[in-house]
Amino acid sequence: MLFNLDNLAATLIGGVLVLILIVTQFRAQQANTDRAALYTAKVQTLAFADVLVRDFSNLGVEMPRDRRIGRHSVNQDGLTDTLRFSRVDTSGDTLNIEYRLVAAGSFVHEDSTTVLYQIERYENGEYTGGSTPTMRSFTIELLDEGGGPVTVDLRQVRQVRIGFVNMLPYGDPDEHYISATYWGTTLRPRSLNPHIPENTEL
Amino acid sequence: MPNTLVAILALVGSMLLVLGQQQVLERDRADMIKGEFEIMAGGIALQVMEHIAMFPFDEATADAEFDPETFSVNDMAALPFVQQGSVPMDFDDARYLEDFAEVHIDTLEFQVGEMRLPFFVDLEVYYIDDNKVPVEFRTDTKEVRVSVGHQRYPIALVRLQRSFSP
Repeated sequence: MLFNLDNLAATLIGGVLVLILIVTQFRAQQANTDRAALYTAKVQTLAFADVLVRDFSNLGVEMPRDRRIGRHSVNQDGLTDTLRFSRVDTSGDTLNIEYRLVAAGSFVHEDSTTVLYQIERYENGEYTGGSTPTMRSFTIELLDEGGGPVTVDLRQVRQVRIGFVNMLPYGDPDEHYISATYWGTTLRPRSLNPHIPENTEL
Repeated sequence: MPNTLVAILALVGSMLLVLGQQQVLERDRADMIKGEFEIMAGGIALQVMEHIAMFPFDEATADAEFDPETFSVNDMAALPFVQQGSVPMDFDDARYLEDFAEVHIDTLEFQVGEMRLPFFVDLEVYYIDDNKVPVEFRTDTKEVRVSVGHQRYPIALVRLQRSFSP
């Protein structure tokens, strides 16, 4: 009898032990997936940020003041829909760069639907890439010298405020420890400095 | 009885293993959060450097058309990801690059959704030689170093350096 009770107790304890090990292994795998997804999102965020910084730092180079920034529009959610600007490239040709916000999917979180976007980049009308289709937010604001928004006369723009939110590329956002990366900065393109002479020959 | 004792010992051993795994998990999560702070700090550092880069190299090389009165700390206050906190008077009075030397900004905020995360900024400016080594005498090149940190971490999260010449 004691022998059977001993075996029974050992079996129960062994069962608990196996459950503990299974749960531990599952959590470790989940943590590894989380870490890999966040690393991927961070690489995508910084790579796209590099493209934005490079483009906007060279905004309007060698262009007349009234042709540096073209179209700028915002959608109903306050996100930048389209932004078009120009510069002269190293070979002397005019380069028209355009960023467009395109809906690329959605997900449901806490009973609300969140739209995901892809930011497409165009050079002289040709598609040249852009962001991954996991952007939750994208804003470009054109500011004057005092930091106020410029909506009418784009020649008054002196600063460009950029920001976006990139969701993790895979997995359920509810299950991630961190589900999005935020990036933002404010640039002062040199060509927008009013003390820099403009090229009126173009 | 011996079987039960062995099982209990195995259970204790597995609990120690799980405790170790949990500590690793917590450390991973802390690293993930720090990584996000570093990305935000990088944006702030770039923003501060862009502001500093507007100023002349020094008084001798100041552009005759440049008017320091039009560039003030209000530029920093209007930025969406960086809000003006307690900015020292020196920052407002800056006219040239060296005026930013040893300036400390207590609070510049980065907006994350509904939250605003405060970061602090330390600025250094010094002359450097051709080997990019800081020197105590005047040269043709200055280096500006922007260090951005958060009170949660003992050392600066991001350091951004840039050289300027007249």
